[in-house]
Amino acid sequence: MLFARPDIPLDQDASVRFMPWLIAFMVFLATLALTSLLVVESLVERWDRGLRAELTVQIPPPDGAAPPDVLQGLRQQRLDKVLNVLAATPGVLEAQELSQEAVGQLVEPWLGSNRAEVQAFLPNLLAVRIDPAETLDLPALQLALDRAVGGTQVDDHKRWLGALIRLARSVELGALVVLGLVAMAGAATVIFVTGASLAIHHPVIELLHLMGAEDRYIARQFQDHALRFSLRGGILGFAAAVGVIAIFAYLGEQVESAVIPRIELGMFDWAIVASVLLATCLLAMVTARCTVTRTLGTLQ
Amino acid sequence: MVRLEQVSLRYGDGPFVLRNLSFSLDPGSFHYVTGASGAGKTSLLRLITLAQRPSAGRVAVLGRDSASLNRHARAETRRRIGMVFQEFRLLDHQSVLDNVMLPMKLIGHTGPQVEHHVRELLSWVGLGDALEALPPTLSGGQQQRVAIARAVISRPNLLLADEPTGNVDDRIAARLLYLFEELNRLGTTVLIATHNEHLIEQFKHPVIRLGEAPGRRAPAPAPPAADRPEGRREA
Ligand SMILES: Nc1ncnc2c1ncn2[C@@H]1O[C@H](COP(=O)(O)OP(=O)(O)OP(=O)(O)O)[C@@H](O)[C@H]1O
Ligand SMILES: [Mg+2]
Repeated sequence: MLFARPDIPLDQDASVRFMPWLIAFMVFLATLALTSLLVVESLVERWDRGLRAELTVQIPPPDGAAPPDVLQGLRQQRLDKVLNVLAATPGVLEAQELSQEAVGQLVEPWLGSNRAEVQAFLPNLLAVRIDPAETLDLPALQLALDRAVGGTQVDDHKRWLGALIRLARSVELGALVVLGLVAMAGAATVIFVTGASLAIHHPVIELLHLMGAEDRYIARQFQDHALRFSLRGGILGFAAAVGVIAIFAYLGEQVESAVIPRIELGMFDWAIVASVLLATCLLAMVTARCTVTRTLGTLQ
Repeated sequence: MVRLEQVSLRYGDGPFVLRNLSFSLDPGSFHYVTGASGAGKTSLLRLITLAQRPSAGRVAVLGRDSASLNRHARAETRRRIGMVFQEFRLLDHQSVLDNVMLPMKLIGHTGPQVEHHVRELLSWVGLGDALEALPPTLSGGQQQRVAIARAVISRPNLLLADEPTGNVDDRIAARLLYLFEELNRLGTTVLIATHNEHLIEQFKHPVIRLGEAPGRRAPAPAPPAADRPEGRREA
């Protein structure tokens, strides 16, 4: 029997009607907060993993006016110099030039699609794959490249990644704060409801004491009661939250974008999310139990 | 089994309900305690169930001084005492069966064997077809028998019954007394508070008489109110 028939008629309390809803709401909030935390975390990790292995080298276009084919030759020269430097750098696995087409497309939103006009101002871009295992001396590389071709820039994306990660961390912090607040509010509610319940059922509790019930026997009934209402409310709130997450995930799939976070959670993450339910029940049970034991302990 | 030494009891600043009461109940004995309404019978039983501390004197129950018992030891002692309350104190939301099972749950004995035992006892006290009834739907006499069944089911070392035949007819009263005597034969020490002189006549056991109602008690230091100090051994 999961629940022994209780000696204290706790299921007649008024709290039975509102506690599950309150718990449902809290579990809903907590589940969403935890999910967003995990999504952001996995996003940060993906950015980090992707970008740690990559550098962008930007070679400015040659100065001065010259016929296009001469300019093209100059560009190629500069490109070769840079490629030589990169090839001589330990830790560099591969350097690939982004075609002018691709670079043009990258800037198209800002500069328009008038290729011929714009082309002359476009830098050459190299995507450089580096061995994440080796620590690349970035300032030294920057110096060497600048010496080879003046104005060449190495970008390891740290700057904008840093900003993004800071943003992500604050989102995570917010989620943690929500989780903490929800847990505290939940515990406070259980303490309050349990206290009221102890007062209401004082005659029955007194009788149980007179018949030789230990405090833990009585606490057990409150604990089981807390498990019942937190499980009922928790499942409801958890189901609602999973529904909302599913809707967001679906909407996210519809938008092809590298920036909008996809909701991609592994089994482990889902296990963590599901643990909200477990944690809620545990919290409610332990809180109820402690409240009862502490209160009864103060009766002489 | 139970020993009171110079026990006095008053509630707050009120008059003394019990004054310099001394007696002891030997293991396996059977006693009545009588006295007018308000004489302190219920109060005396409350002292023995450790629900009330004496204002003066010492109360020892099951070989342990009540003042020395901590919370856990007190609970342990109470589990060895069966108590029939004057006002029954049944759990109104639980069936008769569950009410009587309660002491067994408290001592950690449950299961089909125990339930069978409970059913048997309930049919013996004439409640065989009220097993699933809720106490508030029963008559006073029926509730009283549930309370008695609950008090004896765990074969306590000590049975305290407060006016256990107050709500039943003579035939059932006799039957209940047989039950108590049977339990007593099996080793339980019995103390019954009653003012049913008829019963005391019919089932002979030593009687502890408490003085007249406290309001009319003489102010002079009264002798021990029990007429049989140092409780007699059973005949
Ligand atoms: N909790 C209490 N607080 C204050 N006074 C009490 C309390 N309980 C009992 N009394 C008083 O103590 C006296 C004895 O009461 P008690 O219930 O022990 O009598 P009793 O012999 O059981 O009477 P009855 O035969 O009517 O049951 C009464 O005067 C009563 O008013
Ligand atoms: Mg009484």
